[in-house]
Amino acid sequence: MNNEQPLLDVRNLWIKAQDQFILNGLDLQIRPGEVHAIMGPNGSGKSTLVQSLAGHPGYTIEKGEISFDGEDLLTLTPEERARRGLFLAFQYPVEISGLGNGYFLKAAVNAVREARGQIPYDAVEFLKAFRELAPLVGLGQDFLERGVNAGFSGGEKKRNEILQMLLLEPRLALLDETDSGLDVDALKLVARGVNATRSKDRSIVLVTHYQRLLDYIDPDVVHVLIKGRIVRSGTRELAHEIERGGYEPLLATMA
Amino acid sequence: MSSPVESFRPRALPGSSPTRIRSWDDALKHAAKALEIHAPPDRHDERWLYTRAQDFLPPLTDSGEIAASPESELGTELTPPTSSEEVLLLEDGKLGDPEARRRDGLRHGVTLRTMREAWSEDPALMKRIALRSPIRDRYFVWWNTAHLDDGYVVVVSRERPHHRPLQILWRSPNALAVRRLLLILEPGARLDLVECEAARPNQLRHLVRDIHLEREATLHHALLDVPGVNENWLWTTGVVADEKAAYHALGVHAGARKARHEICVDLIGARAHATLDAAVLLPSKHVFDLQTEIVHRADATESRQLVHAATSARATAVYGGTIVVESATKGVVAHQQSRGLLLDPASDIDSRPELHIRSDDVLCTHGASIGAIDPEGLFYLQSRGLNASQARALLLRAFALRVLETFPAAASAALRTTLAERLEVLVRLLVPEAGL
Repeated sequence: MNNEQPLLDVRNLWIKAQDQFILNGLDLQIRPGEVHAIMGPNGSGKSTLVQSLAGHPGYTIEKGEISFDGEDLLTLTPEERARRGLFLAFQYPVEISGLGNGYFLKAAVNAVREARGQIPYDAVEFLKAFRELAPLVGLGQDFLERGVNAGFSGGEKKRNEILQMLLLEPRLALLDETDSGLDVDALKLVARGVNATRSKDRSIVLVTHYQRLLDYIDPDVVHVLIKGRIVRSGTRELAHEIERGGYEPLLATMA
Repeated sequence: MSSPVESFRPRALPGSSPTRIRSWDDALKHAAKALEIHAPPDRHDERWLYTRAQDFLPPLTDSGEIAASPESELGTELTPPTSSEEVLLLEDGKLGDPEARRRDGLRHGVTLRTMREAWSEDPALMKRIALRSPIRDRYFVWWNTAHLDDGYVVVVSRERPHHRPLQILWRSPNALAVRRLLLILEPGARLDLVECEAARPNQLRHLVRDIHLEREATLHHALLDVPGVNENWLWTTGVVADEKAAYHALGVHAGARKARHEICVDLIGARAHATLDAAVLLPSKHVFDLQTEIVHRADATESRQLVHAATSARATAVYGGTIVVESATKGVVAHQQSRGLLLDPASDIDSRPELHIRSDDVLCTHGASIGAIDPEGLFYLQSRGLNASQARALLLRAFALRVLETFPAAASAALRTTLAERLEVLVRLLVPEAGL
């Protein structure tokens, strides 16, 4: 654990969806370069947390504060959050047939580059960046011609998410169950992509049900989220403990 | 309301039967007679609920003559970019000098004549074609004929290399533009055709197309319109496809103050095939009314219709899609799908499938959906750094391009590029703030 100021600082966050509280006073601090894993049973609020951080309009923030690099995140639109370096890898990536991956990725990368004061890529520069990064997640150039996630297998969708993360160079990547539905080979490819992006300036949040992803991506902190609150934090040994005994012992202590 | 098929049957007009037409002048007289007897369609016909016949009729003087609009009311011509090496420029009543015809339209297996010339040279062929036309008994086809000076006949032989798209550009300096095209593809001929109109503000335009595809002929037909200002236009298209002939049409439409396209396809030969697809992207207040009819009259004929329509504020998109499968036909396949995208809650999309199945041996499907932009898709794109306008534009672009993706792979790359470019232009027109 380093002593720098948190990149992401979530304090007493209460979130509602469809008249029901999903998060109940959640606190979370993530410093630059840290990798945090958030585990928890179904319905505990894991996806709500990361989607809200990315600015999903379906959630109502009832109470609490979120700052990202010292800036109030709640005042920013989803695209402003992305341009400042926040990235969400979706659990269920949206399919957009008719929109080519290449066209979409170049538009997204250039929107972010322009916002950061960088010169937008022309077609050649974009292709160069793509060719450098796509092999990390096992994708070839034919992928650029296909519609965004349209007709993709589950593994291809998740690898596409990681490729987008690599191209957009976020400061904080939120990976929402990126390991779900993946076979072991696809899991290794995804982990290779994530590990390739680790740096002292880049933080990562892994939302997962299972310990197996953490065999390939070594987290600094593991949190357990139950009923909308983080009830326990620890090292990766905590993940092993949950793998062995499930969430029942933690739920019992809350009763 | 009469059935679509009944409406095609020849009607006996006192003193002017269609079977007695032997020349272009006879055709004009027959049309004039028909207009005396028949009233314009009205809203009792469900196909005329959203556009009215009066939208496409010019104002008349007290003595019943067409009131001439002063030229000053017409603005600058809006011309679509030409995208083909061969452009057949057709102006009202003028065919250009014969030398120019030889230089342009007459090369590469295409011949061009006036309607009067064609009737004079081969009346038997013209009569056969006229009697087979599925649109010959429509009010606005009579109206068109009666108000024409002349029309154009384009014949394409199998010598034509299909990978060279031919572009027909219609233009007119007049407030009222009445045009007529008869396109004949000889047996085995293939043509990629891009057809578009130049627009002038406040113009009223009529265009009637008769397309006859002989045995094993194939036509890939791109239909483009240019969004003008305060203009009304009506297209009426009739297609006859003989054995193993294929007609593939894709329209890219921006509509107009009032715009309507009626298209009727008769699949008369076994294994004839038709696809009628359209991407309709309507700017604010524009109207586009698409009425299609595909009649399967022979065995193993196939058809598909795919219409994607998106509407800006106070725009109205209408799609009436009719499929008729005649009795005693076998192995017919017909699919129809329409999707509507309301870009603004203050816009309208009406979709009305109509299926008349009179055979048991048929595979027929239809589906229709209308909705707003998918908020999850919007959020997905915004979460990648695209602002809301850019995200909307990309989703709209994807929605429109999905129609193009289904266009037959055999169509030339140049034709596909032309269609894709027109779609891009319309997306920018509908979401200019996206800056794409």
